[in-house]
Amino acid sequence: MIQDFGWSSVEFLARASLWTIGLSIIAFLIGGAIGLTLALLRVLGPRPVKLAIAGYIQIVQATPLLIVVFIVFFGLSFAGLYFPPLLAAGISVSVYASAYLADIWRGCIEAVPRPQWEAADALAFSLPQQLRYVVLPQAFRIALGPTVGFMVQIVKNTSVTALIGFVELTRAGQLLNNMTFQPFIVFITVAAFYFAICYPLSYLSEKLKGKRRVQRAH
Amino acid sequence: MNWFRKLRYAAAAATLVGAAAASTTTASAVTIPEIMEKGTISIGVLTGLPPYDTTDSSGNTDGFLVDLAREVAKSLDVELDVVPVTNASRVAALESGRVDMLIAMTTATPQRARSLLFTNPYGSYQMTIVGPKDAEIRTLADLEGKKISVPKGSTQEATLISYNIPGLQIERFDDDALAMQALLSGQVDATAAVAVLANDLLKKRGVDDQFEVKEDLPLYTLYWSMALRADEWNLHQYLNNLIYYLEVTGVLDDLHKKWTGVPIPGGKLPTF
Amino acid sequence: MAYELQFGPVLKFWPDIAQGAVNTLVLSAETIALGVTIGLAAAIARTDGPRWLGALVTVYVEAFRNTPLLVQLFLVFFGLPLIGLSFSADMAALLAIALNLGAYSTEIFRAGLLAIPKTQIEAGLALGMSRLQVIRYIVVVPALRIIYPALTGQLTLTLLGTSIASAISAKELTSAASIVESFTFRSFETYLVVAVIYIGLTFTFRFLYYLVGLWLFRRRKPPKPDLLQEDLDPVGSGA
Repeated sequence: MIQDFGWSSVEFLARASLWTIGLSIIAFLIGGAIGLTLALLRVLGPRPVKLAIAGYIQIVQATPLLIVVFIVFFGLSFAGLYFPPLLAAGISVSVYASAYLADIWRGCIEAVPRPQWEAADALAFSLPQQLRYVVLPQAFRIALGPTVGFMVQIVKNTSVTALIGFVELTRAGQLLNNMTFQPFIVFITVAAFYFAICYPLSYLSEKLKGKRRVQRAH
Repeated sequence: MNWFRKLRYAAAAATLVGAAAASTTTASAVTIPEIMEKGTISIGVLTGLPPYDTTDSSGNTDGFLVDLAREVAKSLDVELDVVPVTNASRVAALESGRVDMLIAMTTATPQRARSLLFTNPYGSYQMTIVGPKDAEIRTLADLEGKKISVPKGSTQEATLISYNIPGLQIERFDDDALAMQALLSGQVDATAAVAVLANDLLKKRGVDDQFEVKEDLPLYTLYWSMALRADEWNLHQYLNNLIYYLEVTGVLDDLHKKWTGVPIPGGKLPTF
Repeated sequence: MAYELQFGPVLKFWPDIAQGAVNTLVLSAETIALGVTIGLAAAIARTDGPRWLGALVTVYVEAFRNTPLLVQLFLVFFGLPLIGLSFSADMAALLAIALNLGAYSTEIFRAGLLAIPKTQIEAGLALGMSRLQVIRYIVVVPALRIIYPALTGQLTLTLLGTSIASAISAKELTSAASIVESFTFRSFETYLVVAVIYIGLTFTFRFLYYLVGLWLFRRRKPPKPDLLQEDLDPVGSGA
């Protein structure tokens, strides 16, 4: 009944880490789409919309992620909305991702100097044109570093989907620990897998931020 | 000022969330004819407790509980949709309508029965206390003032609480393996473990010279029921009938032997 | 039948829930005190210390920032006993979460330290300020002002991160919730109640940071919170 930690265990974790990566990408895409919409509305929308979005961000950021996912996932089920597991898990995590990304990107949009907007306005650009050609390209460059950095958090936090039955890296580690009862070797290996996924992202994020600092210095 | 304004938005948003939550309703009771017409039954199965449940390298779950779920589906001649659940999510999965029923090692306590419907037990396990060899644990009274690890929300936890031992400190861990590990790494005085697992584990990990199953303590047999939403009487009656049938035809014992090597402990299963 | 929320059975356990909230509050406060101290020391070691020490700090920071808190918690609780260091669950939780916060705050403090140009310190000394005055008015307060939003954001995440400690039997709000849930089987009610308490705790802490900020930067405009400066680690996962 009790197994030993071996190559097949590493394979098991490797396969689970693919789910972690897949879930992270889905959560980032859905969360990013919602986050960008919220960020734009937060900057440009009418007052009640701004207030509602600010409230959403504040609430999500003040609740432990596990509870956010719990309420979102089973809330969807209550509403009779059933998605395939991968999508459902992605949606649950994207609620959290959207709240943080909206905040980060709002900061980036607001960091584009005011005169840039005014200059575009003076050139008779419409609002979508101002965004498309003047503001967003600059905000994008500012946002790149922090956004890549935040992806590290998404990768690590997809582990909450274990709650809804998803066997990603952390859950796989727990299952493996239940089969082998060798927590130390199991979780060191799990940590190594996470590090292998996250460190390149962290490194890239620092590089992108560093480049911006240099650009700003000129 | 900025801060107070934020608090106001937050309060408004919280009211909205609360209102949305309060107004939710769930799928109505599922009946046998409906399930047969739908052609699938979705069953929440507790994962992560070998040998009752194991997970293969592609994340598919298999074991005693999944086999039981297969029996339920087979008896109704419908497809099976296995939904893995954890202790934390099983009730929510059921109440929200995500699954039709649970085979998730829930023990029927009167307090829980106020919320859900429980079937007659489909299986049982014996709880043993495992501790260091040199620890004098012969009677329940010897556990006084000791620290004992249990899996969170498990039957072991409920049983130990019902013993009412003065000064007993119950330490709750996420799962069985972590509870056992807490003993092996010296953070607790003893652990409440599943009997079929404990001896095997101690031998396999080469710690049977330091730890042992405390044989003098009474074995406590714990029973598991399937769980249903509070109004699923139709399904409830059907499952009781099925469990009775699987028991007398020996299927339950066979399945249990297949995964654990021994028949279901405790002899004939009780009914209520 | 429509599902009806019944808070009654959950609220009967209010003493346990309240105790859990108090434990979370205490654990958060201790973690923040220890974590910020670690972060500050590591940041100074990395900016002003010898090369090898700086390298060590880098390894520590990257190791903790690129792995999940839950795994760190398991390794502290189950791994350290292998080398003879055994902690109670509450201590292990405190240590693991503080080390995690320490890694993030190292980077935040370092950004603050690097933001103060050496020439300003020299200018202060040239103006006849004492060393202590220079450290206080030219280094600490301005640096703190720059990093204050990122730092307090990270502290909020630490508060939420304590929810993970229940995995190793530490007693706090989430573990209280799981006990209540296991007794009553009223999941939604339990988690909704706990969510509201977490939101309350978070806003209380944020309000405290705001007050501290007002006092610290009373001669200047208080800093505007934003998330741009650092990637924050919104921990709080755990199964």
